[in-house]
Amino acid sequence: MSRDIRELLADKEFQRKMEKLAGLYPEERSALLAALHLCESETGCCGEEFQEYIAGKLGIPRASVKGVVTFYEMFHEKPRGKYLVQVCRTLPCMLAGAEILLDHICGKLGIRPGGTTKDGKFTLVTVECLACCDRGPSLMINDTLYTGITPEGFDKVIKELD
Amino acid sequence: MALILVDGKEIAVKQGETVLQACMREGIEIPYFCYHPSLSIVGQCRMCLVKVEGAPKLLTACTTTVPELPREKKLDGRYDMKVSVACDEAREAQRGIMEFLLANHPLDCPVCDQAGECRLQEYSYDYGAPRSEFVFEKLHAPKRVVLGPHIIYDAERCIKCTRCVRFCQEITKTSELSLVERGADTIVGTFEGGSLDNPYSVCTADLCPVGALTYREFRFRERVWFLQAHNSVCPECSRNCSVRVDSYKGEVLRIVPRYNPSVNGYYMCDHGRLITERMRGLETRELPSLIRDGKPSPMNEKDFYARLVALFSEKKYRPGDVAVILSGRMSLEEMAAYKRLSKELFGAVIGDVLLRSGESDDLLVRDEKRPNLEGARKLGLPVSGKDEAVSSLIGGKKALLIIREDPVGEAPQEERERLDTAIGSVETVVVMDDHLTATAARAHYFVPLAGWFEMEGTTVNFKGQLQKTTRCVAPPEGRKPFHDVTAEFLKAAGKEAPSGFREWFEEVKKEIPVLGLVKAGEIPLKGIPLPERKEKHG
Amino acid sequence: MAGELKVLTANLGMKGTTEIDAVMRRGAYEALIKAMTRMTPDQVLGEVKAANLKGRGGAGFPAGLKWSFLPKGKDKTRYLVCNADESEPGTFKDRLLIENDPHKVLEGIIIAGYATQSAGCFIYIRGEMPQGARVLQRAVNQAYDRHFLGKNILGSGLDFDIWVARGAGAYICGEETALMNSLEGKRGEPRIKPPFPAGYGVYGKPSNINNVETYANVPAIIEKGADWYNSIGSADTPGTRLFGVCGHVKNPGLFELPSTVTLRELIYGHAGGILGDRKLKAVIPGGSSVPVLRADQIDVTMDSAGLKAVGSMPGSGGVIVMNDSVCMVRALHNLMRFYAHESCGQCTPCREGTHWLELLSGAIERGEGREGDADKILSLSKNIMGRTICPLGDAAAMPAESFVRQFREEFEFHIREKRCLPETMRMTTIYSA
Ligand SMILES: Cc1cc2nc3c(=O)[nH]c(=O)nc-3n(C[C@H](O)[C@H](O)[C@H](O)COP(=O)(O)O)c2cc1C
Ligand code: SF4
Ligand code: SF4
Ligand code: SF4
Ligand code: FES
Ligand code: FES
Repeated sequence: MSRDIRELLADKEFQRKMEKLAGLYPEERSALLAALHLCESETGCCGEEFQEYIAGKLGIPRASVKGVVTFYEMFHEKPRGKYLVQVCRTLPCMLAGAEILLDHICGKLGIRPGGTTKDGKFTLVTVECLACCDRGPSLMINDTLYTGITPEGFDKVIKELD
Repeated sequence: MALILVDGKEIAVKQGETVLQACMREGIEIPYFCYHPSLSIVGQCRMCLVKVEGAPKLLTACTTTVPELPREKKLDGRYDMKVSVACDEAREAQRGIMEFLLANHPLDCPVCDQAGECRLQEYSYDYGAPRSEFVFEKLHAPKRVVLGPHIIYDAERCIKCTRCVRFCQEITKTSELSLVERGADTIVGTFEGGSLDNPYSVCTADLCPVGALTYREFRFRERVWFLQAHNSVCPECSRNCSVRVDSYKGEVLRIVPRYNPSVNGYYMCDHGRLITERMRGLETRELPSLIRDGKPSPMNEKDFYARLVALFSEKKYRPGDVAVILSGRMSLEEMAAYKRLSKELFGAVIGDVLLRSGESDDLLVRDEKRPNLEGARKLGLPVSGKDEAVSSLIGGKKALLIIREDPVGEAPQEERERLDTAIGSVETVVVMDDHLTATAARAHYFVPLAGWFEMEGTTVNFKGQLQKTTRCVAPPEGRKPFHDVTAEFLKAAGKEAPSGFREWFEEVKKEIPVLGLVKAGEIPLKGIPLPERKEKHG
Repeated sequence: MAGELKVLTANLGMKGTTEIDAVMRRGAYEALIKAMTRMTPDQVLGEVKAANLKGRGGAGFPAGLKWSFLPKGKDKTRYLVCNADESEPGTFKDRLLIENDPHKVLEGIIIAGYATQSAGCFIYIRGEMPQGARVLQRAVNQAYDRHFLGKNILGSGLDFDIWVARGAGAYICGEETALMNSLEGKRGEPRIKPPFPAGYGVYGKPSNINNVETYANVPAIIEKGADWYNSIGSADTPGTRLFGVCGHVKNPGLFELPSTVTLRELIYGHAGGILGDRKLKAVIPGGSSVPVLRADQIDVTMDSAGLKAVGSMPGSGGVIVMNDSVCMVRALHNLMRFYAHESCGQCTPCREGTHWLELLSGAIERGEGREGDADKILSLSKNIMGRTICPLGDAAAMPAESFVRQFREEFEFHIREKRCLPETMRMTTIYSA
């Protein structure tokens, strides 16, 4: 997480992974989303440098790559915090108390949705239904799902991070 | 071939043709934004919704094709489809789309360059709701984004029809544009600022149905309803793209492609369009002049021609003494006139039309950089001469006549000196052009000619399509097309001569018999295809 | 009350069911072996057709019929797609199947691959389910190891691969053609239809797409036969369905039931009744995109016919229950924000209309509504409905229209009084109940 993009692109291991991805699907360009996911998890974003690299690698116009990065919620052009706190706010979770939880999280982290804490540790975003509505309110921190979470539960979770 | 009924009118629909295409062909108006005949069909704007009998919901005319029904299933025993554009349901849908499109549209028509040729503006009168009920703050989006060297983008005005995006993907295949973001935040973007830089980039502004993409060189120059439109052709290569020239107060302000399936389709290249910018710097107000030390000293026109005629009759140059450099920038009439003049002055048709070539692409741009080389060939004038050949043409000659070419100005640096010396050793140098060129500065006599957009004339493109250009703006005083200059010469020599474009066109017809009964005033806008030249052997 | 009937969820709640050995001991892949060794592709197709298996992704299209639309012939490359993008608010069945019994889904897919003689299947799984993607990939690898995937599977002559691909956060990629564009590394913008995927799908090749649950139904159909399948459930939706109940119920969760179950039984029986012991106010019976029902409309079966009778539809089987503490304006605003956020933006009515609906419902919610706004919601919905490229427009318009139609007085109250109904000032949540 949060590796420098230049360092990443020079990394042999990473290049090997990219090669593998490119050959994974019947057509190369299908690997685009997977490649962006990889960059996102390694560096915390899919900036222009990577967009340019992957465009060349998969033979996709650069503008189209940008179009893709900006289309999907999970890709970010700008770096975000070490922990991406994704709070579900769709109706079923709202019925379970998502708004109360979100208010609490905003207070706790001292940021609004879309914001990043000063220390760069947390970025808070709201997301749409995470397909576990029976166990709401739901949230994800990076790749980990938390359900039925209470304000106190959230405090405990972030305390245990690192 | 299927038959459809559109609001009571019968229309035959070709296989694969859409309802929109068929209706357009028959002059039935269906409003649309995203459809364009040269681009893929995306059905995104939803403006062309029509009622199709039997369909559960309205259909977009641009995506609807008409399958032929078996006889027993035909509607009213006759039709393969019944369509209504004007029924309440369709009209209401069209109004609904307009309401949506205008909801977040800035409505800044008073300061918008597109005003007057904006489809959104036009349709809001014809199909729009009486007033907008959108009471919220309009979405803000980037304005004045520099997409490329010639294109500025206003995302607030953009209706996301993706014509521009598809053009760059499908026509130029350069793909500089993409939609970015999504939902109501969707806009058009480039990977990095300014990268919409392909040789046809300005076509995106032509395609844009609203004022979202504007042509930088034309922005804020003049409100379009003040412009006068003229039909012409682009003189920058042998494609001869059909163009519309928009002028205002005697100045050419803008050149846009004019649809011509036999020549250029819907498009033209940026280089052709940018003639306006290149013309702007040129000094074109010279009168007929003697040149001393590179400086023109204007003379009374009548005296000037008398003096030239006297010169040539005194010196009695023989064909071998003279070098004549002609240009593919001359119209057919000018070339025909030159042939007359040459016979008169030198007793034979002499001279070479310079071949000027450069880069080409597989879209429109041709390697031959003159509009009428094919015309020259049709009239039997030799087209020859690589760039280096010019000085050898001149070597050892006593007189040099150069019409509409600037070999000095166009010569590479290392070639210039040689050319200069060659020209300097010639006794009589006459240059005729539409501005005082580097070559003209080395002449003894300079004859100003009307420029490309200042005269009528015909040209033949590389495929043999003859087109006519019109006089879009009046030439400054003292400047004429070369055929009228010829007439001056002949008159000064006491000879009869045709006068004006129409009469000289008759001369052209004598040499291109297929033109037969065509009258100068009746050349169709798309031009006339001439049969292929028979190569002369031996 | 009819009890649960565990066909699809038979392995759920057991240990180790993501491992091929464990599930094979419980009968996994037996249907595949039966199909590939004892039936012709056409027989398999015939059985699925006869079973009248309805798609579980939302539209309820007969799966066997859809398979039969694929052009036949050795010269054609055909693809299958498994839609695991599960993002419809209130729907959480596919996640459970994938994370807990991936081999059931794979088995169904491979049988479908055999029936349609396809080259392979793309499983497109939501980006927000990394765990599911890992489980699936692992299961796929195990299936390759057992030669249930790869070349000449079980000597049937079929070469069949499965590729797992992740989405990246876009509800619209659940729409079949948007999904295909996304699979091709493009923006998830739906394509205009026709051409339909059966003629022009992934990479322009003939493709068939089904929901996770749809494929998961296939093994049991092959194993036990179409007659058995038709003996369960209702005439228009045979077999069992996965109903997820969420919102204001005491016992939210996933229930596998025949569609003959009534909505009342589902809410008050299986899901334990209303949270906070308050009154039921509204139910969205099939994922957020279907029309909302009032409390007096729940005595209907959960099949197409039953829900159609009250103006709604079974959709994706996600039941969202709201008690009388819920402000319907606020609930609608939440949904409109969702659709506006998820609109791909390529077509005018959806891009502009969902945005407008979000603003309008938000204004009413905040007490800034103006007279006529309720009608404006109706007219905006009408201007979206049926006029867009893909059904997302309808999916936004249907709740908008039905919320106002069913709860008109509440909207008018909001507009007039500039506040919520008194009983909705404090909404029940899991924290308060
Ligand atoms: C906006 C939208 C979102 C959709 N999301 C999903 C989804 O997440 N999962 C799914 O299986 N089908 C989804 N669908 C339905 C699919 O387009 C398609 O009909 C379905 O995958 C077909 O499978 P089935 O016939 O097995 O139901 C969605 C449709 C729309 C219009
Ligand atoms: S800029 Fe113009 S052409 Fe391009 S999408 Fe917007 S409205 Fe259409
Ligand atoms: S292609 Fe040739 S004729 Fe056409 S606009 Fe360009 S330069 Fe002019
Ligand atoms: S209806 Fe909405 S999601 Fe579907 S294509 Fe149109 S804009 Fe995109
Ligand atoms: S609404 Fe939050 S998981 Fe479904
Ligand atoms: S012209 Fe038909 S949808 Fe745009």
